[in-house]
Amino acid sequence: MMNTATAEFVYRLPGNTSSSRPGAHRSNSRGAGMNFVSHAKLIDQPDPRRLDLRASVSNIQKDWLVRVNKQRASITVSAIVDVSQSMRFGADQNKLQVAAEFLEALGFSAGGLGDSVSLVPFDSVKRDDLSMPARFGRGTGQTMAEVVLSSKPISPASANIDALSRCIESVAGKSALVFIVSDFHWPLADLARILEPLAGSLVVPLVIWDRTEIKPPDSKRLLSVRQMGSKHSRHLWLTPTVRQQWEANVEKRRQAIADVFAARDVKPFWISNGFDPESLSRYFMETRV
Amino acid sequence: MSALGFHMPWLLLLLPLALLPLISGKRDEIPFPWTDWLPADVSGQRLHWLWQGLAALTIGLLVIALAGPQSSESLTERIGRGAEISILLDRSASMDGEVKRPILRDYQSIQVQETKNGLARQALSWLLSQRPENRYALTLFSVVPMRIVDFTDDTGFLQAGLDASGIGRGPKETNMGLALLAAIKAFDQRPYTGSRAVLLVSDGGAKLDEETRIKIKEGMQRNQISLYFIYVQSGINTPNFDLVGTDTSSNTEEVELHLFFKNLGIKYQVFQADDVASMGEAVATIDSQENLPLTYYEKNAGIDYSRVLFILALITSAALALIAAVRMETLK
Repeated sequence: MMNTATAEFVYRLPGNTSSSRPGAHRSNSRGAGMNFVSHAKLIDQPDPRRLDLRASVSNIQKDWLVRVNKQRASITVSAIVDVSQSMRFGADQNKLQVAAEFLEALGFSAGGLGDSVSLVPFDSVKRDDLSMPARFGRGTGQTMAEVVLSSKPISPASANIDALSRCIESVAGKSALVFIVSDFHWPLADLARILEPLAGSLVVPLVIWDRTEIKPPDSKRLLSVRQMGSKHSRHLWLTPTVRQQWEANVEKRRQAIADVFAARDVKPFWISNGFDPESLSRYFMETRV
Repeated sequence: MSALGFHMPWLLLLLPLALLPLISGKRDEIPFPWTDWLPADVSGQRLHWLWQGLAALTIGLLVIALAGPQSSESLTERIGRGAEISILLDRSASMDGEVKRPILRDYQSIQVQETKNGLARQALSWLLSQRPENRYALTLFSVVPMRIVDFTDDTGFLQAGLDASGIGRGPKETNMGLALLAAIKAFDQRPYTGSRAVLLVSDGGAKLDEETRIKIKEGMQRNQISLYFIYVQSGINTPNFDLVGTDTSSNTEEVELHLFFKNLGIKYQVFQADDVASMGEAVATIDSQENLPLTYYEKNAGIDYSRVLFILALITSAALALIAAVRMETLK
């Protein structure tokens, strides 16, 4: 497990959210915030603490005016996590461990910002047995990480996009920030369509690939691999051409995933060498206002 | 001609094991999350097939080799020159005696005295070395005939038999009738594949009773055997066959025997040999006369193929090891 002192990242949302619970994100709710919205009559907003004397004096109608501010709100962050068989692949650290590290950091960060976090795992089906409703508290992440790590795939089949669709439906409208943590090793054709319910949310895809799956090994020449959860196998004689082709195919896939999310003005966050909270913070800084 | 047989055929039941490498490649293949982005590679696929094929072949070869394949014994027809000669060598005590020679003239150096048996053996050895393609049988006789070597063209074997006849001393008695019958019997139930001869080497005659005479005559004629009688002269007083006419009645056993042989109605020749030279001459004559083409069957022992299969399995295993050396065991 990572040192919790460093496993924290900062996330921000573009635009305003709407939530009745005070928190760290800009919202449309009016209340005890610092962002001035307008003046209102004292009679309408009977809060003498916010009486704006200067504005009242200059008011033509001689009304007592109070300042109306926007209140910062908390949001619910959802992590949709792929726990299928292919996520259990990895040389030094399997992809699920990377996902667990992310969840731990997410729980800690969200707890710090006063946001609640929910976990929605899926493999070939939506895993209701593993899902956790939105919770507050800094320890949430640890619990989620443990749940994910101790999970067993329901079948050896690869993750299913229908299952992802179910997960998305269950968080749509409730979460302002949705992380999709997966290796995206399933057909991408319908992805754009099933992301539609999340129109009001920020969707951040965390694409976790192991270094051994995206980079051809260079120690030996003959490689026999079998698709996890299937009998389909490939045998490669690793010539420079084949290596190049492999890397080109990975790049093509990367591009295909990026293209789907580009339509939503989102760049995927690529993880191929362990989870680094700092680079995720940077990701939010650079791509979000 | 040579059917294939197995030493332990039930081991072939294990042969389906050879299919194991073809059925499951799971042990060889590394689970991979997304093979779709791996390029399709023909040479890799071929190498994998080769790997599977070699593995199956290796197991198959080992199973077959363990079952012990061997070709069954076979007979090869061979045509050679030479005769089937049944050597009938007198091994009675008298043969251990020394050859009687005429009194030496002044100019003749004293020769080493040789036993008649030794003389006969030397001459026969010479025959063997001259005509190794002949097929010989060796029977020693004294009281009873003793089959030493059945018909064979293995002259080493025969030579050993001849050498063995020189050891020790023989019994006193000589039963030539039984010996002749035994020599004739050796030809019974053998296909007639070439000229046949009985080579009788003895130093004395024998009285044969009427019954034996009839049997010998029948046997000789039935088997178309020619008879060569090498008479090792015992001494100066032994009769000279050359002078014996067919009508001469003689009471010596040798003459009687000679006359009996002469009237058998078969090819018969007598040689009176009293030293190495004359003995050799006799043998040479026989050699030249019994040098007709001869058809005979040679028995080929079954060939054990398992060693070859084991070596092949070793080679395929080495090939497997070569492939294994370049094969990724894990992606880590």
